[in-house]
Amino acid sequence: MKGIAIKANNITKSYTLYNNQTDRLKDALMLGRKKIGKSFYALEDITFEVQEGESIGIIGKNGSGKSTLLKILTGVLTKSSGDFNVNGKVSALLELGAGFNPEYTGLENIYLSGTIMGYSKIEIEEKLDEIISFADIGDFINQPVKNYSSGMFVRLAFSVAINVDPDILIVDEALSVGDIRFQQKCLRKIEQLKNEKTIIFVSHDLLTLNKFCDRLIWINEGRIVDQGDPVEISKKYQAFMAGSELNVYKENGSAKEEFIQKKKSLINEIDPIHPSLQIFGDNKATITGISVFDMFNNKIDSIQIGERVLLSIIVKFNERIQNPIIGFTIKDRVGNIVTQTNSFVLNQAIDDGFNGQEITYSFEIQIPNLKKGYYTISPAVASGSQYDHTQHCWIHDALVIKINDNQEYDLEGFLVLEETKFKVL
Amino acid sequence: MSLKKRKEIKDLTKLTLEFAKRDLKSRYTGSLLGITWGFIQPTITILIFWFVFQVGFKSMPVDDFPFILWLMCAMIPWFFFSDSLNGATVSIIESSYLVKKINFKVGILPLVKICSSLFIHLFFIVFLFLMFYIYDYDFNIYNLQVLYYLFATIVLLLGFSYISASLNIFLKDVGQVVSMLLQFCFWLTPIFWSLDIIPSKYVFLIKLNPVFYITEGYRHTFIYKEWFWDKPNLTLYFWVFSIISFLIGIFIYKKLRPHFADVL
Repeated sequence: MKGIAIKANNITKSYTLYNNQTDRLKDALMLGRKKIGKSFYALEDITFEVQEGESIGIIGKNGSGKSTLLKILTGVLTKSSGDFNVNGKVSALLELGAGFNPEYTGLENIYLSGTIMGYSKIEIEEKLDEIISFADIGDFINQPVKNYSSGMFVRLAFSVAINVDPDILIVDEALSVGDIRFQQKCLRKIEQLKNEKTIIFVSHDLLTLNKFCDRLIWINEGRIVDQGDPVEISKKYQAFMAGSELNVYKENGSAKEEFIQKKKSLINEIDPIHPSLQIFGDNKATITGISVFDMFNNKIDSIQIGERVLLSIIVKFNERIQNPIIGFTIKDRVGNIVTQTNSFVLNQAIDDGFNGQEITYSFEIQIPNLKKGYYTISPAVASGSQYDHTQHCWIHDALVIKINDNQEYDLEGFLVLEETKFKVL
Repeated sequence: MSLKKRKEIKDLTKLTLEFAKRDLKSRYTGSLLGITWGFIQPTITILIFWFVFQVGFKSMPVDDFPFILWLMCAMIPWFFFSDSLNGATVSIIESSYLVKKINFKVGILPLVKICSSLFIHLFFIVFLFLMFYIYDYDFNIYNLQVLYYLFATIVLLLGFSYISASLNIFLKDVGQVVSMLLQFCFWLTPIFWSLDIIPSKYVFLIKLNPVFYITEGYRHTFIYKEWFWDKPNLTLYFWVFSIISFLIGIFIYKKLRPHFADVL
């Protein structure tokens, strides 16, 4: 029978925002009669349980309160109300850093962490070799930690955290800093620890979470939205994130409000260009909208490789333009141009555009065998020919699409090799 | 007291001493002489005072005692006091990496500073005995009182330290104010001047200063051969003052502790 490792009951954390530190001090000492600052809730009524030996993943967008929750569980921050129980020795890797003194060398910091965890010098020395060899940062172990790269830092911090023999291991997004090989090494180690330890894992990498966690907890704006089976929750979360990308800007001014209203009213019409995007060009023509549709005319932003889709672009002409060319570029997440095309190279002569005209152009394309991930589409309008043209308008990354490749494993590279056959001769 | 509680206290004591050792080491890391500087600096200061007053101004022996010995008796506890308080004030801010990233008993940090200054102070007490021996004064029973006054200093320091360390996190000015007050206090306390030069109607003002009780106490211990219970009023005043400031220190620390990680 396994016990309960963590039990949280209605944890709430509110921050009071003060204009200056003196007000905060007065409030803390309760010198003033009433609260001076404004309250802001980072966490509200968080209730959950973690069984011993269970691996829990916590997901949520930036600022949703994941780290705050972990900090409260580890005792770094103080909750405002509610209560919680943590049974067992906790080793935590919160954001970047794990109580390291930047002035100390790596070695001294290992001793420091060990001392704080309550180990004697001899006990630390027993673990020393393992910690150093796992961190694998060479001679840097004798350099002050402040000179470390963020990768080295997290290597050492992780190595210490898992080697102090905790009952509960808390890892907060830390691994993403390490290079791929170190990440793999850590994940292997976590897999190894998974059955004996309770693990809480915060990450934006849903693949990893799905693989390692027994359960996911999804937090949004300080509240638990849902928890349960990792695959189920991560699907819901992804769907939510795709929709919420644009809503993030809701509060910033009326132009954005208008944009959202307009977007809502045009369910299956072309989206206007998001007002946060910068539009480049000489203003003789402007791109006012762009969207991707499937062959049934449903607007989509998540596409399977091999699927045929329509890319529609609205262009508004502000004066007469002869021989216009419409084109687009697809870029990957880091800005590599994956492919591009335009009406000129497709041998499509377009009628001249006149002042005030708004015309929608559409490309029917087949999505190439790209690896899954996020890609952006940057549309452009020019005039002339491929060799000699004037750009009138272009917008970087006007549209974000998600491409799915249906592959079970995440391999390196740009393309997916489809229908590959393998045999032993 | 439960076994668990006892173990916790033992662990905390161990942690405090361990950190005090580190603190001593890290204060002078990077310097060639290392920890020796901790001893050289006060020694040089004493030598300068000795040179200026005994050699330069030809200060007469005070109450038939060589000026240097008389001076050291008050100067040495003063160094301990000001060193600890200055250190404790910044102790928590300095170790913000322990407050923000991990669950750490932050409360030991001011204590750590007091302990690390205490190491140096203990050396100077031995040094003091040595000087008296060199000047041909024998050890006597009154000397044992040094333990009592040492304890009194630590209690006084605890209160002040928790107040200044906690407030300093919210208002960085506190650090400046503390070091300024310490300067004032140094000149207002009869350390290198004798209380005799003050008109007797103002003497009570000087006696209000709790540090006076300590510096004079060290002199009683080594020079004047008086017991602390021979001055019941002053002793009572000192302890009431210390305990009240200790309680205020604990109150402020407890109230502010939950906010540390939010502010730092």
